[in-house]
Amino acid sequence: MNVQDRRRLLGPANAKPLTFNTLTTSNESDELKKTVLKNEALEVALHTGFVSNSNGSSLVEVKDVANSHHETSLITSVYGPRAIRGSFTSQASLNIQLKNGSLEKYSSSQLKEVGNFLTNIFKSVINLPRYAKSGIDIFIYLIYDKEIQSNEKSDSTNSITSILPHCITGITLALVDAGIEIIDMAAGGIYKGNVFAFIKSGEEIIGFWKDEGNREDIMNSIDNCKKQYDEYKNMMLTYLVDKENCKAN
Amino acid sequence: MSDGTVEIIPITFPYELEAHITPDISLQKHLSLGLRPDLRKPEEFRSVNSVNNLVSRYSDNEKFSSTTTNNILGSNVLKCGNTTILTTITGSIVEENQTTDEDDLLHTLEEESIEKERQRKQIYKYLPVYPQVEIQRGQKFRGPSLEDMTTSYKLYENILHSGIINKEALRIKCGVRINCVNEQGKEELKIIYPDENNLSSTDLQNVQFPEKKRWSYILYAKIVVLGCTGPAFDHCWNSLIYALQSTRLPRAFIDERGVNLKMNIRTHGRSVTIRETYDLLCDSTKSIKLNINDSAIGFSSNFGILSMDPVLSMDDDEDDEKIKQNVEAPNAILLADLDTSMEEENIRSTMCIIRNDSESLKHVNLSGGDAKISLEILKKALLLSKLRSKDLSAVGSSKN
Amino acid sequence: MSLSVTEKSYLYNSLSSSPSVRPDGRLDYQFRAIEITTDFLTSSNGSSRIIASDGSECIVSIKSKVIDHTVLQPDDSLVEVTLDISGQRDDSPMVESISSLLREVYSKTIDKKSLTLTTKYSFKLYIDVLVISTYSNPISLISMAIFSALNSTYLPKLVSSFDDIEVEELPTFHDYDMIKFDVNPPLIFLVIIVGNNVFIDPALNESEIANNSLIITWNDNKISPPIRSLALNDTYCEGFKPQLLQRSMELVEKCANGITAMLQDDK
Repeated sequence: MNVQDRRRLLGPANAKPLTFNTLTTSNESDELKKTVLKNEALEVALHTGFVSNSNGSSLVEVKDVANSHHETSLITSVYGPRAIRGSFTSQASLNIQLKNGSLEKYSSSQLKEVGNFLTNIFKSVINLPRYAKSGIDIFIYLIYDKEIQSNEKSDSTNSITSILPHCITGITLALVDAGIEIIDMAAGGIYKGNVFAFIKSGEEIIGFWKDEGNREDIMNSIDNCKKQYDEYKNMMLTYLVDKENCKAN
Repeated sequence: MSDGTVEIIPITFPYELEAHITPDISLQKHLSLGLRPDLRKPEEFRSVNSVNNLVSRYSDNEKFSSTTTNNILGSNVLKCGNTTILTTITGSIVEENQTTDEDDLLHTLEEESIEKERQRKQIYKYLPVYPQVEIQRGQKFRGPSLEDMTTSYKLYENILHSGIINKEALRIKCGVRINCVNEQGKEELKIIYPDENNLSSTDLQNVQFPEKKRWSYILYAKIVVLGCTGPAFDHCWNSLIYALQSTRLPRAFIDERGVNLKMNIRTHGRSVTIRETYDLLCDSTKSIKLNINDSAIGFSSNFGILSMDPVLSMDDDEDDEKIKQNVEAPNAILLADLDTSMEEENIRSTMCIIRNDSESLKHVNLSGGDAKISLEILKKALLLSKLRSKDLSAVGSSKN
Repeated sequence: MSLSVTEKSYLYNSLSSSPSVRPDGRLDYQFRAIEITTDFLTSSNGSSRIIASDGSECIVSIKSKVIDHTVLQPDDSLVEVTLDISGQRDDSPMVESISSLLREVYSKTIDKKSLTLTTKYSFKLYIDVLVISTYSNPISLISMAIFSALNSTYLPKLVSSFDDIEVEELPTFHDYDMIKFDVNPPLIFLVIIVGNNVFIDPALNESEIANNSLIITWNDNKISPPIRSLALNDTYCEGFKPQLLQRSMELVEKCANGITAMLQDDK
């Protein structure tokens, strides 16, 4: 920590970050917000294939009021399968990294833990043995991630949990765009701080992450997460079919 | 093999394969037809789209403005061909040291170095932006790549030496937050700035503005390049300029009690009085536009020079005499706005020009590779960069 | 150790069959033998050394420092965990994710009140974990080492007044007397899923063929967050049925109290 980073231009060392004074918001605007929130529960925008130097990419923009109270936008780019150096491997090695966007919100070890968790999930989704001697690198760039202010009581403190389902959607779409063989479309859902990732129409769990709440919630939230999984999966499929149709025309 | 003759069958490759195996020949073939691999004409630039202030706290967009967590002061999204550049400007506050006044420095120097120092003094008037460039090419390892580092450094040097940001522009005119009684007789917090006109004389009498200390903003730029297929510096520079043009600085103030705060502290049994260093707070509603020297702004464009292979560029019916001529004096061709890895890897003579649409050049970088750069080509490049700069500044101003 | 494809397939079949057979003959809820020494570092407030029967070894040292808790940010914690696994880079995915998990577990579960000294000052605990050798995922071993280290932690006894909001005074301590740090630390269990069976405390050869695994935290006599799924190998990764999540938690509930009692007895 004491060693100065010589690779970056960091500016003066005694600089202090900006702190803004807090504003007291009037009740009027809060009410307005609440009505807006009720009308739109989940808004998702999907887009693939715009990072030209990658094999596949996707943009996921989500405004989720019902479950995670988050507004998120992330770009996923897939590089690979590409040759790796070193000895022979019978299957592809997978590596997923997350990067903070312009709002530097999460610590690097938190991002690494999530990256590792997503790697674990997609080990059971990608058909890795098909790609011997190769590596697949996936990068997620969190453009922005903002908590939606709501008057309803939200007990979510560790907000990185709530972007997990969006990351899973993003990676799945980018993998499809890259033409990498996957076993099934993976998607996830969040309910009361429980994140479940499913494949095979919700029959199998491929990932589970829980940072808050208690034990009793776990089994109860499976169904809720399954519902969200279906929603996401349908959205992805509709998007991909539409895109194919556009191409055909 | 009975009659001892060998038949040679020429192999032809499909276009994609040829581009992969022999990119240099493929490039030459393209150019001999008058087109580049991405079907542009040699001197054609890619079109640029740019949106300012999409994610900053001063954005018109309801989603982002007035959130307490948003510390972004200015931003720009620039799309050029398939390449997207996201630039965000953030800031921090630094307390200026009084002793490093420029004039004091001059006194301490030897006679002969004064002239040198005077030139450097010119730079003292300006401040840089600290850029951090991330060019995403799918590198697996964390930390900046060589390309990231050189691009960051080039941006830093150019912002400083172009003199775009005056020191004065980043100096904070500090306000003071006071407790006062309003018309209804309630106590409320009020922030007063010295340069505001609507101050009553009583206000001014009561308020003591901090005079001994001076603060300045420091600006950082985070630049992310997505889908980068060619040289990235120009687009980073242009995006950074757009972002700076859209940047607003928050007003900053200090609490009344912080202006002349002293504190008694006991350390090791002795009593010492220290002046408390009080942090500035930023006003979450009021902001001023970052004042930049418009005359110093230039936009960047890049060029590549390639000598044409005489054998490939000839027509079938050309006579030998003409080929001979071509071989002796190879034709060089100027390509504007390099893109695709085929061009980036095979064109070693490049030129980078930052200039505005009038006569002033800000930065010229020429790296001579294998091609012969003639005066004619230089002139042409300068003219093209002028036109480009005009176009780019129009793109910037139309969006603001 | 790397197993051949046939060895793995044999192991997988024997573990996923019903009734299952573990390679070392354990039952699904049985742990491997461990050996614990506590309080062997004189310069730290609490320490422990734990050796598992496969040769994995881990040392934990706990040190305390008095800090002014009024200047802490709301999300700052009074417990700091640093992890060092020999043979692994500090920025490797395994080290980063284990230390991030440990930070999450211990900063949330250790009560701030138990560390408060006066109205202004608190103890801050530094838990340093050194894994000397590891053959399988060490998370469970580390949590047991931290558990016994925290249970053998003694903090200096305060002799100055508790209320120092009015008087500017630094806390002073008794020269010899120490107070036992009263805490009920959490434990972390690792459960693997193979086919339709679940097993606790997997050995290396078992982790190599696990379809999936779960990290389950046990705190205050019940299962509590964080809980995560984790892939222990590259080749056998698969999804699992929701019932297996339920069964893994039941398995942890079955043996957690026994483990806690065993670790507390050991003094």
